[in-house]
Amino acid sequence: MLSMLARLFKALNAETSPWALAWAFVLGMYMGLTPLLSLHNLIILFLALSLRINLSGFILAWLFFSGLAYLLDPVFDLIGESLLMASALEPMWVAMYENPLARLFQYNHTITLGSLVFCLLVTPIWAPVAYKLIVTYRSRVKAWFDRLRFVQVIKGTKFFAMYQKVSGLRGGSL
Amino acid sequence: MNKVIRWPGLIAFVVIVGGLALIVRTFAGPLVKSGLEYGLTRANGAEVNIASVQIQWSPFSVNMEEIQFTDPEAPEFNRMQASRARAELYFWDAVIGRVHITDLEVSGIAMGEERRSPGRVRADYQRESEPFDWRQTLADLEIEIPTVEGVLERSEVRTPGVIEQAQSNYETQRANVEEAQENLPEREKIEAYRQRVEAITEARPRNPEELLRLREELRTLQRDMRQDREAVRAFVATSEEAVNVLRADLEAVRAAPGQDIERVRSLLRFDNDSMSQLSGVLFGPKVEQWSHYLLMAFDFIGPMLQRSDDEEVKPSRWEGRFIDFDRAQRPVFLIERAVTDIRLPDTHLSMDWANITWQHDRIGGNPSTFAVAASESSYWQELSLNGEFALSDLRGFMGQQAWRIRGVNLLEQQLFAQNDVVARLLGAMLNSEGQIGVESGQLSGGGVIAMQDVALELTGDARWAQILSDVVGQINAFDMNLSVSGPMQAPGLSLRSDLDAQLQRLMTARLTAEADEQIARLRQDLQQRVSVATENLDPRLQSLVGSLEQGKNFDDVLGELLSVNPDDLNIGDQLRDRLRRRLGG
Repeated sequence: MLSMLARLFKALNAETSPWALAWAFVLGMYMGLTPLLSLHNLIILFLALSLRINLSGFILAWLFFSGLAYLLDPVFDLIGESLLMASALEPMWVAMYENPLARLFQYNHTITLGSLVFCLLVTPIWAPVAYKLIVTYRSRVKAWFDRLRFVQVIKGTKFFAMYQKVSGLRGGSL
Repeated sequence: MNKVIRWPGLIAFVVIVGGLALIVRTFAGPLVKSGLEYGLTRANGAEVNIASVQIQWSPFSVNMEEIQFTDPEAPEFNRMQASRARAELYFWDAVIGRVHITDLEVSGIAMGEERRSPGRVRADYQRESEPFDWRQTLADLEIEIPTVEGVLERSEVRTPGVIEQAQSNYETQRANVEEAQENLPEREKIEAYRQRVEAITEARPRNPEELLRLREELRTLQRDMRQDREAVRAFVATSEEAVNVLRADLEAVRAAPGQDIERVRSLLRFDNDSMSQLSGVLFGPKVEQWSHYLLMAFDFIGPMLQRSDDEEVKPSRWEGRFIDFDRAQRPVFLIERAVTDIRLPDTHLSMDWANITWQHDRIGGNPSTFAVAASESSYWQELSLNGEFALSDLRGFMGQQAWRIRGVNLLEQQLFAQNDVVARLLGAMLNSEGQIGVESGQLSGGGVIAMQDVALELTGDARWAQILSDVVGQINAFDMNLSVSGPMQAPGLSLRSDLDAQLQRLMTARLTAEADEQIARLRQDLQQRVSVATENLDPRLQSLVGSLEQGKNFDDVLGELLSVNPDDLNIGDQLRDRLRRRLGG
């Protein structure tokens, strides 16, 4: 977990594209908030593995949102139940019920549908917010952090130089 | 492109997912086997084993071999087992969790077979009732065989007591009679009274003074006679009582040996309660085994479907719920048609099923039906069984079935073997018919099992078994009334049969014949005692009767003498004539 956090910080501090990190957080949110054993999560996993997004960010976001999902499940259940019981949508649900593929996606499960719709609605907000947070971190928090006295003291030590050397050999930096 | 696609990740994903798909495809049989075993175990309440499962993809079908359903009530046995089963079903329906089997064939079905090792029973299985152990009943039966010696000991032979009582009563009565006799006037005195009255009535008073004197003399004499008559009457009453008592006692003494013998014979009969269960012990396990086949629908299939219905996913706020949009209202589980081949000793029986489901409301309320119709064979002349059941939200499990079986040739088979006692049915012809209904999951009904041309054999060291073995051969026919009641999951069987009464009669006759010699000796001894007693008491009775007659005679004479009215005495012959007329002279 610590090494994963270190990698995340490394990615935050490195030249990794902020969008690659932001989309990793978005896909992690899908994996975390929706029921894990769902067919749509196979697509999310496919996207996370095959697109150049930050995997550490994806995994940490997944874990974070999984914890959050326990609090939000009643909300998802409410959203899903409202949608599935909406008479205007009933013809669509009835038609989908006859489609085995749709049934495999468990669209008629209240929490699955509720959480997926929630994620779809939140994505247009969460993706730019995540992007903005990363950019802000890099421009302000990292600069402020580097200016801290104890950080400069640490950076001036022989140990840090050695760490940088070793870390550099492994292709990393703090 | 390379800036967007992470090729190693994409390839890894494809390899992993493809590999998983390949594994599922390759090991579909074992995976389905595990799933089926798990699901069926939940429905059955105890371990279900399937030796192997093969999947055929087109047309999609599942083939199973050696399916065993552990009996949760007796885990050492299978409540049902089948050697082979083949189900054709809709693949996509199965993928989305709807089991729609168009055709099911199950062969080699057998009930109550012993398992190689006891099956596990689910911890949440709830036993509906304690199983009825017929074999335990045998151990509890404790048929007591009365011995003649024991019977004589506790039969309290009453003849000697009756004789003693008669003698004692005689002594008492004799004392009373003797006491009364002491006050009895002598015969001479009575004769003297008669002579004196005659003398008075014969006298010829010539004048009124003489007439008055005679009248006064007669009055004085009658006062004395009245006193004596009181004593005579007291004697007569006492003698009458003594005669009555002695006569009753003598009758009791003469009847006592017969009553004693009858009592001894009645004690040699078998206990009704223990004998009333003997048919259950002999045929209970066998009838229970037959009833497993007979009640297969209600005893096994129905409860399993009901449990599956109860275990359908219940909605939970925290787990979410699946909302059903099936406007066609198709059942989650449906077997349109099933053919089951039931394995019986030396033969097979085919049973056809239709519409097996627990959601009958979704198939237009049509019930699940089952029927067996077998034409005449070497094993039976006629066999028909049919029934139906339906599960409804409103009325629960309801259904009925009827059966009619004629001329079933029962081959030699063991009825039970325990504690060196072995009972075998060498052969019989069985006829049976009956009807059973189910309402709200509760069974009720029954039928008659008529056994003809019965040949039974029983061996054993116990004395009752030896006696029983002597008489079972005489049993030729009997009826058993089977009653079924209780919840479907654990139907209670009870058996009543005239076999018990037949066995009781035969065993009693056998035992009585064995005891006849000793009973004859007892009878002789009692008769001898009675003879001695009656030889003694009879003359005494005659003596009492003689005394009684004498007393009565005295009373009569005194009565006649007292009937003469002193005022009737008159002057001249008129009085004598009148007295003569009255005395009959």
